[in-house]
Amino acid sequence: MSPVQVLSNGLRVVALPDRSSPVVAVSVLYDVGFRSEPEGRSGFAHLFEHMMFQGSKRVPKGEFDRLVLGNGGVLNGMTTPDYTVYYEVVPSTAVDLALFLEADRMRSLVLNQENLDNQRAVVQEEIRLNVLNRPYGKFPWIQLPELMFDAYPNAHDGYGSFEDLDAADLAGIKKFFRRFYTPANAVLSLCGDIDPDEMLRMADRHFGDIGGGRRPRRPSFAEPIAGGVRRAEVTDPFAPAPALALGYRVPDPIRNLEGVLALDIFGSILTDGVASRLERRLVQQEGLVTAVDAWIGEFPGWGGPFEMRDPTRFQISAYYPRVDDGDRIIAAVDEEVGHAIGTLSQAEVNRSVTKTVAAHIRKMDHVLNRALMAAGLVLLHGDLGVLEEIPGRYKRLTAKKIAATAGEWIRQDRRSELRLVPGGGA
Amino acid sequence: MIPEVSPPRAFRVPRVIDETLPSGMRAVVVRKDGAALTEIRLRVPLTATTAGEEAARDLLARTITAGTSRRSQIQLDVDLQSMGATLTAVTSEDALVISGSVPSRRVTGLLALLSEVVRTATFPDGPVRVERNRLAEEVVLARSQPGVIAEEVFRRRMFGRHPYGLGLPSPSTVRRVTGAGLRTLHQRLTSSGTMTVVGDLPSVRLLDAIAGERWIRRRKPSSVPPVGVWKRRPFLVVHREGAQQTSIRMGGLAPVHDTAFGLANLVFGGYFLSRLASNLREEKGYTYSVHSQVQHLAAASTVTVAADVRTEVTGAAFAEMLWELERAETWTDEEVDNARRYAMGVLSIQAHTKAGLASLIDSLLARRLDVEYLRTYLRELRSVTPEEVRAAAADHLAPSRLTTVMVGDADRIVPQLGPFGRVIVR
Repeated sequence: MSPVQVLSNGLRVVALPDRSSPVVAVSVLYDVGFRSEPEGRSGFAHLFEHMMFQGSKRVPKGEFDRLVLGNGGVLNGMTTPDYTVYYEVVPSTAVDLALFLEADRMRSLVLNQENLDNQRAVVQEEIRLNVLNRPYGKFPWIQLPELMFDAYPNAHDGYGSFEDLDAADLAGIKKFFRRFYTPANAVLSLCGDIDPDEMLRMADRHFGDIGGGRRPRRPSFAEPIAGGVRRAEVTDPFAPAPALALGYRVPDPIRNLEGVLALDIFGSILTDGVASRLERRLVQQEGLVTAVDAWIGEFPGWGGPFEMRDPTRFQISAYYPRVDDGDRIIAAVDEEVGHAIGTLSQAEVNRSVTKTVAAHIRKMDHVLNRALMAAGLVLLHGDLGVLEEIPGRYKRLTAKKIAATAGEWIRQDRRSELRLVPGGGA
Repeated sequence: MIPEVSPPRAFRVPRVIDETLPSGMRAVVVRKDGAALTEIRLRVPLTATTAGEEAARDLLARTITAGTSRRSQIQLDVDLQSMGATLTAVTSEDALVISGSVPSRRVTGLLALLSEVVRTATFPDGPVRVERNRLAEEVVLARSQPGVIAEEVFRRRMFGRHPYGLGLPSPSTVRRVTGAGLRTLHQRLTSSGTMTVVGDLPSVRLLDAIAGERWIRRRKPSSVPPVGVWKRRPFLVVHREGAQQTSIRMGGLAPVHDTAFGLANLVFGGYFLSRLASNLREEKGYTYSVHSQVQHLAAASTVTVAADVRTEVTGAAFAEMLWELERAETWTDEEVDNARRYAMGVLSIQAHTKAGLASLIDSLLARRLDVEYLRTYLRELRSVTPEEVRAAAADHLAPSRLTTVMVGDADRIVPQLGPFGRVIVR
């Protein structure tokens, strides 16, 4: 039996047993995120995520939370560039309930004006809390893509403008649901104290009769790599000190995962730990920056090599105390990147790989992380096999491969330079 | 029909070895099968009574891995990476806590390194200077975050001159800390700490590995002064220029190890089903983030209520918070039962990973409890009556026992606070 089963309505189901604790993670990923939002509807995917908690035909408003939490579980949702995630972690006796709840909202979500107005207000408070009322709230995760990309799907702010959020109407929300929230456009994954065969039967019982037709055609997000250097400066009213971010395109993670993993390790060689190259140079030797980070994808800790489609990005961010040091920092980064490409040793690579693989295994110790990773791989890569191969794929990377990939992609003549200047305490 | 949920498999309290080593350190060791990982938590009492000591304590945590009698900072980082291990030190109000994680076949290597770090850290001038500057910059950054400002204002208001009221040290205080000062402070670390180890190896072997290393010598532990007689302080509003939200913080003392009050906290504001979240977020849309929390420190247990609300509804939101604080008698038995099942469920979820179980045990040891306390806790979770929960709320959540601060745009907030008596504005 292959571990990914497809129900007759197209729902892909993954069940990963781990009987060591009486808990189960249930997740449903829908193939729609910020990038699928139509122009003029920024923030729509995330606003919709909130609507998914407002009740369905057999589950009145508030009951979803009450049933999951009140039976000893936790739940949440999360909107990302390429997909929207819903999950529950529950005692194993409540799996049937979790599947029922997920199926009911996939089948028959209740959408009304009152809930839309309320959740619009909640989302706007979330944006004030996480973006508008704090320093570096858009840096660099909203501001860098705006500079790097031209195509609307990649460039726009996924939290959305208040204007667009205010313009969201019930008809649009309903259309969004019908188009994207279908079984054929989703992956259900379970991990934990379950029997896979029984899970499949249970999934079929709850989800099998949900109609909804074919998988919607996903618009292309592709855009050519911009030549030359793009520069922008933004002012942050709350920031006490400047920051900068350098953005580079990376290979397509689906077609060339090896290349993206090579850059992931290159990033950790640059900034992970006190022995890393940029940390030594910029923080310890020259005292130029307070913090320096390099990562692939959306935020450090989210996105990453496995969780996004093309186009995505490699970025280096630095926070520093003295406004005038920006040029010096960029020059030093370029020098160190060039030096790393020229002198990278296999021993240095092996250390980074050992640390990265250990961190991956630690993360996968949680049933939810395993369920989400599995579902994401099925959704984006169409291949659950990658899950078991991750450590091996990292371990096979050579210094030569990493240096060549970095030389090809991390180029100072083809990147975006974003500078944030403090706006003087608003 | 909504599926019925049968009672979950009971949480299995882990079998542990709990022993005091000849050095005076208490070691709790658990075997947990699954991923080949071992998690370590070393907790050593370390308190501060002045801002200078607080700055030194923070820097000690940041530089204890900056070099030992045998290894430079970089060598240490390289050695950790090569093992796939991490070692991170942080301070809590009462202690220094060093967390380690390592692939199990390297556990003796990490224990040896940890022993070397806690006994022979050298606090070299170079890394101390770097971390001192970095911490000073981070304090400036932290103090531009509304959440941090509110937390500091609140703590000072709540604890006055007690060390718990110290908050972040000022950048100039941080800059006065020297390597010599850190070496002196390091001499104050005592052996009366605790070590928690959770791994997939036989406990006896893990205990032998711990006992085989040398740890800190026996010394008299530092202690925290008592909090003293609790006095509610007048309502304070602190102005923050340009604020887009009001950060409301309320708090008071909570009973120690009181399961009924723990449940009362959940029903009131401790999770998403709570009265506070249902009212302020889901019904009114005033806020994205509202919750209450119980914290057990060595010298005091506290309850705090936090909400970040839209500026123009500050008065209305505060009125709702006060209203909910006084309505414990209307809590239904079902609400209490939901909280009860939730508390049991999250215990299983937290304990299902090695890292989660290690942190859970460490938090029990910090409260001078042992793993057996979990049996008492589970029994009480089942047996506490709704009347006892409501009574605990009436005793400890009365507005007359809580101190309130608000941080935001004072010009727009204060006119909304007329009904709530005298307000001090700063």
